[in-house]
Amino acid sequence: MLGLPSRFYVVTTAMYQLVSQYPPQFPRAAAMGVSLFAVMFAMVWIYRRVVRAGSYATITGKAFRARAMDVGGLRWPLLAVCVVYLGIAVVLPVLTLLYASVQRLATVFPRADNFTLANYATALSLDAVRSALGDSLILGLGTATVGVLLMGFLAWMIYRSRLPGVGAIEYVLMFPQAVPRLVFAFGMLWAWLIFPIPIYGTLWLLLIAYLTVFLPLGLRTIAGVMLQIDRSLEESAQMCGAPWGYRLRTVTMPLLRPGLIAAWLLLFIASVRELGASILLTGPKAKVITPTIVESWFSTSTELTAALALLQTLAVSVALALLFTVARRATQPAGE
Amino acid sequence: MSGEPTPAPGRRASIEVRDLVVRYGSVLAVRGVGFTVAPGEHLTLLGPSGCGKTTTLRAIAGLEQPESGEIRIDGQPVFSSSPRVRVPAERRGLSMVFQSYAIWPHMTVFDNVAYGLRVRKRPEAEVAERVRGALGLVQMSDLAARRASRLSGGQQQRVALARAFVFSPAVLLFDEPLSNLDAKLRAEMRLEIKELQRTLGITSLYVTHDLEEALAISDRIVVMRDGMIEQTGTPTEIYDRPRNRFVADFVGSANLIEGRLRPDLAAEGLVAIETASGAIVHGVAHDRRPGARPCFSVRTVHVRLSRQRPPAQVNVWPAIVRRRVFQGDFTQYHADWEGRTLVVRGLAAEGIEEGSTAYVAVEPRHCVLLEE
Repeated sequence: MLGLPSRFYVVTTAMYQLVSQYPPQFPRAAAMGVSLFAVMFAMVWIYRRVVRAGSYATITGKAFRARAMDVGGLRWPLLAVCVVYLGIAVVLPVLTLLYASVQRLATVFPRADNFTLANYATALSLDAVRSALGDSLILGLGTATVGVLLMGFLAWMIYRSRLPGVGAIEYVLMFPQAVPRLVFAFGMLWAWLIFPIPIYGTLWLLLIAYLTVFLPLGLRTIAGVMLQIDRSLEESAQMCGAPWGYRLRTVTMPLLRPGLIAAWLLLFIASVRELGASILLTGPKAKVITPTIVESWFSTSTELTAALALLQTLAVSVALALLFTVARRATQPAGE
Repeated sequence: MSGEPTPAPGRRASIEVRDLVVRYGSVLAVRGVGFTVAPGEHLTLLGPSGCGKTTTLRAIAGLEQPESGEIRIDGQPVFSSSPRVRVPAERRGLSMVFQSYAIWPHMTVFDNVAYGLRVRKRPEAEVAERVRGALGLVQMSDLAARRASRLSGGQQQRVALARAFVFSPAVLLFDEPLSNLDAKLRAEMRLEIKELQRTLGITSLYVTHDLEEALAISDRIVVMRDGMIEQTGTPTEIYDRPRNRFVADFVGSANLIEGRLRPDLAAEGLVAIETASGAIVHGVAHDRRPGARPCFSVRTVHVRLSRQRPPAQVNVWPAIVRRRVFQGDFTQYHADWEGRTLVVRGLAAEGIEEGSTAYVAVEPRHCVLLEE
């Protein structure tokens, strides 16, 4: 959406244009898609080489403690970089939204009577918005929870078990990253219209879609943590006679917990603001918030849209604040 | 190391390894290794890094899948290529101390040690008693409640030891357990491990590249190189009668003296070699057949250096002292002898000046004929 007005095409937008123009150029779009696969394959191949070449275990059986790094005179410049980046990337857009959402008519220099909270009242009074927000949060919880379990298991399979062919699994799992969400959603749409299980137009379809498109994200996050844990920690449990279920529960899971919580949060946020796949897969019975915001952008006012966007941000922030509190308590080991 | 109840001794088991082959991709890490550890025996696999000793240990543990061969614990096959047997590591009844200690940082010392007992679903009262006993044996009783991430290296090693023997395993495996400790602590722990082995009487298989460690704690040593066994024997056998140049050189410091055999000079059970420069050296063969290039191994500590000519009939030669290196417990001399350098280690007290002429003497029983 951001690149198009200035004719700045990335592969995915170019593909979208190819498909949406008349007549649609499916073959050329497909060719572009395949070129993305090739790039992705090369990247995963390099990643696997790098990871295999060295040991990235930082959590070993030996004492480890995080240490603050002394950056000396660079302290303030580094802080400034962080602040400027955060300002441009986060604060500025949010403030702009806030500004727009409290006006009757968005202008740059408004008069005092132009300010109103009516947009919020409208937004909250719309059933569609309320159910969309609720559905999004439920879906976020579901995606994050199921996703962490699923992706944790997959990551463990790939990096810890020595089953033959796990390398190939990693390539397949990274696939969704190479497919533009919209293209992927088309695929799911057609597949589930034909498939005799009636989940089209329900939250289940969205859940499946989210679990698929976020697979690479979750997997990378969890794999990163898993690679930090020295294999001998699991092996020593094995040598104490623990079968793998017991090992997983008493050693692997507790050590992975901080990483799993981080992955959970990431998946939660990512699914609540998912748009690309959702926009095609939502239906009257399954509305999620981000497509609703986009619809509002096209069919109602800018100000109402800004209010909706801020409500979404607020909901996610509250949910995150709650989760962070819980997570901090969970990662804080007893007695420290 | 006393005053605490000793854990009930486990069933002592034997280990038998036959024709073991382990492959990593295209690399043969272990190439047909075979040995036996008797019940209650302490055997050490000794060799330089990359010799396949750790791989052999891990194959016995069940953490590495061999390509072929057979491994038996207590007479029962736990791995066999034909007929196909694969017993998973957790069901082999073994225990292992890891090089990285592998202490779980998210548990207390007590929970770390109790792990193996809890896996075996022992009643909590018994767990508490046995963990206390084990921690007592490794002198860690005071720190039972401490988080494992807050221990020093030596303390972690003690916890790892206690965790490994607390559930009375049939066999204890050690994978270079001391290599991450500093020299002083290493010497201390070496003695403690030996003491522990004798107290518990558990069959143990120990892997190290450290000669002193191997000599100190083993009943028998298996010297390995390039995935194969070079020599098997008691520490004294290995040290006093190395089989070949590799063992002579790797196990302790030795002078290798080459030459051609002089059967005409052999007498009284001795063999004689004439060096390229014409010196005649008498030694012992121990019923061995010399290789293509007959060679004696002479330990540097067995060569005597003196100002006066010693009264012995054979193996006495004049030499010039080139270097004298004071090393604290001993002094190392480099002497010019028959056109080559001979390394001699003597007591620090008997100083002989650099540049002076002295006599080197070595008893024939200390000149050991090598096979290759």
